[in-house]
Amino acid sequence: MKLFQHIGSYLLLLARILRKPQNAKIYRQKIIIEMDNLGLESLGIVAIISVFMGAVVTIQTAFNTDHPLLPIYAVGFATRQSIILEFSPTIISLILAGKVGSRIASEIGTMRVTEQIDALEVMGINSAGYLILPKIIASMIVNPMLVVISIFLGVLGGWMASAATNVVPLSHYSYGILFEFAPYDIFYALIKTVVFAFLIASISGYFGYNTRGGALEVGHSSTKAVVFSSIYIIFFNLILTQILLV
Amino acid sequence: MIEVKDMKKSFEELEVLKGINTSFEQGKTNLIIGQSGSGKTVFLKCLVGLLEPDHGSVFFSGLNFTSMKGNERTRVRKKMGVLFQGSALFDSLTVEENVIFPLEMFNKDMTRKEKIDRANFCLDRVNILNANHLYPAEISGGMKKRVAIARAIANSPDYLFCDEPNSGLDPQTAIVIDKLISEITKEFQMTTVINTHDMNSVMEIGDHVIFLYKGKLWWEGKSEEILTTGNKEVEDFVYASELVKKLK
Repeated sequence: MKLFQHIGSYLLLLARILRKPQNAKIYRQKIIIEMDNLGLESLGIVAIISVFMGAVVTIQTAFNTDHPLLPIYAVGFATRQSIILEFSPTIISLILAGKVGSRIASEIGTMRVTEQIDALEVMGINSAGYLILPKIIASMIVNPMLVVISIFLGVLGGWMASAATNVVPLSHYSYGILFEFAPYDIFYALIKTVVFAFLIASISGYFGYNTRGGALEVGHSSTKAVVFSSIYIIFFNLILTQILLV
Repeated sequence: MIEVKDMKKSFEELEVLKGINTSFEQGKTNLIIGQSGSGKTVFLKCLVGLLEPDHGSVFFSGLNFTSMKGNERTRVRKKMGVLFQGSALFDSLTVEENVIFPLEMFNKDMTRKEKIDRANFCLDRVNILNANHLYPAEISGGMKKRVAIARAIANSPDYLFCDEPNSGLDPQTAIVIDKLISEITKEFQMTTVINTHDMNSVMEIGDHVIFLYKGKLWWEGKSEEILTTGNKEVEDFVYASELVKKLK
């Protein structure tokens, strides 16, 4: 019952968020700031995780496909497909749900408990739109960029692992990376990322906006934002995979 | 002028406001006093539209604010300035940006320079000097209240609402803030409504005082009359402190 109540409140909040902005210039400025806060500040962790995951996927694939009937270049091929189709869009989005989602929920939640949201409301400002819409748009622009970087670094990480450990000769790895490359896979990864970015920013914004109480409740909202964003990412991952790949 | 007609508000079974009728005149400092839990904050929130009353109406200069929706309500809200208990300054903006913020949102005709000049005028008026580029976390509680007042008056409001403006301030700073609110009320001919439980404020700046008791308007009158009401609940509140009892 409570789940339906949350879904209803979430949809009502979305309707408020998507109302026409009162001052487009200020919203544009806020989007740029949020792109910096939510996107560029996550670049470091995305880069580190992508390089190491790419390397690990390559080594594990090499050890698990050691069969005379499988060509050696299949390691590069499998690494590329794993990174593009699943690792970069989904795992990176889950990591961003933790980092960005908690930030959004705690920032907006603190504004709620310190009456800053009330201050916006009494000024006649659509506080939900002003606070959450720029974060949603910024995430939907910047997260796909992060995922493209993650794909590149993941493949590079695999290449570095191949070079360092020689589990796959570099020429075979490179051949596998280019083997039967379908640009649609990148499109699929980006579509998923955009949907996940929307979910992370809007769900976290919802929990932050509906915070009541004090510091303890801000912490609870932040935790709920991460948990629910992650659950919905996994759920929508299944739906989108079914729709876009099958 | 603000008129309140038969305002009632409940939270589930708890009846917080039980039919309040009163009016607040322009150019006067109107105080709402009462014990904690008497319904002062709920009443103020219903006045500014942060809570919807279950029954009754609020009229701003004859316009029924309670029945308004959307843009109509936004137009009235642009004429309001609100000073919150915790100041509610935006943490991510500097002092100057906080004051400019309401101008940026709604005054598209003003140039950037005009907005900065207006912000500086408001900050000067509340005696904030050389703090324009500091963040709220870098200034004292008293300064935060002043900046919040400057932000509240930036858009030249017709109505000013203050929720416990003295809370967390030392007695001297509290008097300075009280006098400042009273001065700007007269200067800009605003209708000011202050929610407080500070008897110093009542005696210093109260032109019109209403006393809430258990969600009802128990007494109203001028500040000088409050000492001699003969009403037990009012006197219990007024003479609660030992110091005032001795003075009596």
